[in-house]
Amino acid sequence: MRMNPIKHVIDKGLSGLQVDSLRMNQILSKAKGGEPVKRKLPLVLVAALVALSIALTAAAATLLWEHYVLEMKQKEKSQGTYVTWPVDDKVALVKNLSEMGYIEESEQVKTLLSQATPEEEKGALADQLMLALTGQKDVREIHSDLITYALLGPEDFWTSAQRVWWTHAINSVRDTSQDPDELVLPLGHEVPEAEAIEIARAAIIQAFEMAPGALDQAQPVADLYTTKTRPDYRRWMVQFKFYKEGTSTWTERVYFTVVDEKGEVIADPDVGTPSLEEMAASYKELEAQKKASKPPIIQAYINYVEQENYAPFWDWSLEAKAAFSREIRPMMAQAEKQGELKQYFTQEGRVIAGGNLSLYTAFAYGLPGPEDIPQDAALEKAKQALVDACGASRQSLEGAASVFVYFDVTDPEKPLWKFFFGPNWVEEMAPGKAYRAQVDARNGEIVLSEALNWKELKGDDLRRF
Amino acid sequence: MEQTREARLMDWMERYSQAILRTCFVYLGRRQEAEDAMQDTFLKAWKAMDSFDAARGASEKTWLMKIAVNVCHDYHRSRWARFVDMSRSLEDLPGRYLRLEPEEETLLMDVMRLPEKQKQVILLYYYHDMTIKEAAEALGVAPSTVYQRLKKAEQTLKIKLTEGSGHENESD
Repeated sequence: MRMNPIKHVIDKGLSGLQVDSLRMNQILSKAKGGEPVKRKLPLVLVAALVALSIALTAAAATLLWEHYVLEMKQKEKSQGTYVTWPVDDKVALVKNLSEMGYIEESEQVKTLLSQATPEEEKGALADQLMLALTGQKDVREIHSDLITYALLGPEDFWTSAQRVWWTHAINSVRDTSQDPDELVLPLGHEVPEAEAIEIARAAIIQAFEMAPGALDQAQPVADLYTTKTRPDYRRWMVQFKFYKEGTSTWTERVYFTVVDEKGEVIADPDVGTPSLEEMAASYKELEAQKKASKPPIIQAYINYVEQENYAPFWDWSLEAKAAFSREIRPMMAQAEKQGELKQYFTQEGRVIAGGNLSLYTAFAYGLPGPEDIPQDAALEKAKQALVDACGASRQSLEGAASVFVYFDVTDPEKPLWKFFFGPNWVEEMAPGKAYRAQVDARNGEIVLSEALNWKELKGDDLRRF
Repeated sequence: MEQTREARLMDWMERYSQAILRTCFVYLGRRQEAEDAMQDTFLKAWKAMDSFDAARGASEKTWLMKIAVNVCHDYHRSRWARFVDMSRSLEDLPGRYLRLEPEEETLLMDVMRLPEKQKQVILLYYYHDMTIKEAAEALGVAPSTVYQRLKKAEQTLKIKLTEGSGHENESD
């Protein structure tokens, strides 16, 4: 089992998600009964697409692509993605994109379209051009979605009409029978998009007790939709999205609500959207839980975790490890002495806190003094020892994906430099090797050097660091 | 023959359904969607069962995860996915999520908010314990692509995932 925090947080955080035998039997019954018949593209959708096409005449090239992508999706569904296409089809795609103005009519394109060019060369040229267009490195990645995003940018920055088109394009090749809702184009009687956004903005600011202008930096995204249960009732889903700094696709935080066709802010159970009041109350409750007081040791540990930007303990700086050790180790010892440690552990003996405090406090950590050899010199001695005694290559040590460093002062008279060299991901292809070495910080002698199998390491092995 | 197929599907569900359900939840951020995606995964597996050739060394886990990832991808790119507020995803879950410590919850949310492709490789490599080669096979991309995405995910999550965690005792 690979040791990492991801598996832990998923299994712990989602422990309530279980599949019982009843559910399995339901799936088996469905399987034996056959899958639901997929719906054909409904007539209303065709009408919507026509209406949309008319609305988009301002951008001729975009319009062409928006027609073309529908064909491309059908082709992908029946024949597979671009990588599997015959050369002629690849060339046709590049030719179309070039005619639409998305690919420059370069010498490469001319060679591609020349009848004199051998087929193999044409395939390679088409691949190169498509990789350049989509910014990908592997031709297997190329598909209609990527091309669309390359041409039009992230969806949140499209017009709502473009998102209607795109949803229908995607739905044309997937089973939509279970979809509860559908994006639609305005008919004219609804509150306009810009007004819906402002109504939602004011309501969210009020419900979450925000400062005026708190949503000014967010990207507003409004989509008009209907649902199967209320097909004639049109509503705007209005979202205000904050993106991770420097990105326009990774949503870090989003506020959203529904504004109906008359301009009323509503809860919409059809799409699982509660009222703003409920959302705000729930948010406040969650924030309060996060701020609730914790046992002093746990709170102190969390402070360090936050200070170190959620890095795992072994990746903390020497200074952080030393400060942590000075503060938390005596607290742990005291708690153990007074029999209080049980409050930090579950009944199964597992640690309640995010990290394993008993592991991190097994040794005392400090900082090297003037009488100790410096880290660089100790590291060099450790590497040489691993090369000489364990057959490690210099290359693997220099290229180690992770090097953990500890300055162990458990015995103040004999401080130790401890180094651990973790495997590089590339070495995942081969048996994962790791190495560790300990160097006497006073005289530079090697105290320990050994090769470890990374995959077989368990908690106790880490404790020995 | 039909009985064998039934037994095989049940065996797959017993062994993999829970992990697939959780994978779908992390991917999609909604419980109902995740359950639907998990169901679709097994329905597709049932339909394609004859094409799965374990005798040639294909891993059924890799094969099932390939289906699950594709199903989730289809769900994810639908407009429905856009209405998911990941910051609320954990709130409606049954069970013990409140026992997550703040830094654990942050990590889980960070994983759920990863760009789709980074999330795929994180789930396959770290949650399903696949090798890079297996993850590449499941995703239909080159191993080098998986490697690059893992590196990006590491940067995004701001942690060195290969360096273990503080939960070894719990996973023992």
